[in-house]
Amino acid sequence: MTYPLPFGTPLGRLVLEEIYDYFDGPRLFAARNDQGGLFLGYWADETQTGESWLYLPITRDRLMQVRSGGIPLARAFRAAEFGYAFRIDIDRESLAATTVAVAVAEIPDDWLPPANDRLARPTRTQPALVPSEVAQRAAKERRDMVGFGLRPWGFTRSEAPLLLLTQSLGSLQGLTEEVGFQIAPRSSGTQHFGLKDREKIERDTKLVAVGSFGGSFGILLGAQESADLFNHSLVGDCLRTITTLLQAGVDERLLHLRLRHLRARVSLRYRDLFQTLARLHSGLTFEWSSPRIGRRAKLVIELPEVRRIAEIVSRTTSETGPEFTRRARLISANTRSGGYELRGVPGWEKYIGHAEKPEGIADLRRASFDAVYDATLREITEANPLTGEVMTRHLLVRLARSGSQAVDA
Amino acid sequence: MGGGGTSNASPGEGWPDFFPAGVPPAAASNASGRAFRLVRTIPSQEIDFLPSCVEYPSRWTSDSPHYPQACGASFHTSLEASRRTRLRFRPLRGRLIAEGILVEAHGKMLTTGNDPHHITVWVRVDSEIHLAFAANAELEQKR
Repeated sequence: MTYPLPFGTPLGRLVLEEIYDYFDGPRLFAARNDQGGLFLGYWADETQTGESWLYLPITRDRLMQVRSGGIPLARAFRAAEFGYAFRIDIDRESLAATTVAVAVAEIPDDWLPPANDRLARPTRTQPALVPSEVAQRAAKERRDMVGFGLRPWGFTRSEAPLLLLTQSLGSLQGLTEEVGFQIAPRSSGTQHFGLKDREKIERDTKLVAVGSFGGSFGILLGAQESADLFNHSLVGDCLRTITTLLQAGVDERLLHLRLRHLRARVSLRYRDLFQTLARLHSGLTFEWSSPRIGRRAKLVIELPEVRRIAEIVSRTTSETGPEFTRRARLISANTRSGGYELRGVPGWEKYIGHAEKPEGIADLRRASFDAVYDATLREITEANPLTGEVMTRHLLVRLARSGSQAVDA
Repeated sequence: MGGGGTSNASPGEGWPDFFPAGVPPAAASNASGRAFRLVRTIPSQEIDFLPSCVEYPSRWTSDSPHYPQACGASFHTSLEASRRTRLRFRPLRGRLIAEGILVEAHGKMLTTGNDPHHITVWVRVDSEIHLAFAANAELEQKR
């Protein structure tokens, strides 16, 4: 026998498949017999004369749930698929094994791990992408293919949150389309696309999901339209552009340079994609292959890099203007956060922002809704150099009762 | 302590005679760093650091695939990992967690199994490793 596996038992000849916990010997493991039967082996007790083990018959799918932490260890026994486990007592000296089938309800509580004890092994619950699959399918199907892999943090199985999946795929499609509008030739020779051009670009940049793969969770995407006789396609050009952006990685200068050549809307879409990934804590793998020979790339962007890229493309510059006073009506105020909304009198123009601490907040605390004040404000302009977005807000410096020096209680 | 064997080199440097060729494995590095071991008593005794192949000789044969690992003793590199293993198995629930610093003179070590916090330490003859693990990790933490 090979300790700890017993011999001469009804379980047959066992081999260790995987050890989950080892302490001076395997203590928790998966074992398989000649007939392919799977067991979860667990060191349950020890006495002066020997050891007691539990061997839980288990299916592969259930084992994958247990090893990834989807099912706590104790529950794997208590809610056993077949309702029983084998108790195997092994004599300390002779190693002779005695086997008894026990109903799981009869297993003493203190023989099992604590209720919340789980394994947390990364577990591939879907077939992995065969390394050459993307390239082969692109060549065979004469269309660009992308293996778009998500690596969500904290997921041990080949699974991904629906929100991450839908939002990141939506961002990728949006980005592809925007790049299409940037690089597609204008048939009429003008700056703007006609309706027919727009429809064609939208159609030619469509990606479709053609399969999924494991490790962590991937969607295989294909171009909806196949390539032309020369293996050229608009979506292929878009994906090549996206690949060059991804290849810039966290190199701020290079990323700025590449995005600057594209429309601001491309930068916005690129930012959307990385903000989604960062917010939902996911890394990314991007494997692209075109039917055109030599056009392929594979990139892995880990979560820290995703966060860094999101930070780079979200960064704004801010400019503070001079103070000015405006007569305005107080519409709303939050005395905790200092947020406020004022409307000009007359004119009704809107001023939204935060109060300067602590003076501005103190003024807000004493103020009344709908009353008219002389508001001292400072304009702050924030701009994102990549996307070209400009946002203006106003810092409330002081709020004084109109015509008086300060707000009265 | 040397796991019950006699030295095949000078004391404090050599390995027990029962170590087969290739033990410790070539990938093992000199023992070093903070480590934790589930022991029966604190101050811990030599017996607490016996490799399984010495403490339970009937279990292991030299052709067993786990024999090389059974020639070493299990340690954890985090207190949390020691606690988890102790709680997970009834036979270990009465154990204490000894804490110490491994040094080269103790032997060789290697991260083994699929647990990044589990190491096997192959202890040299007469290394007196138990003297380095005199502290109760949980009492230390409370202080």
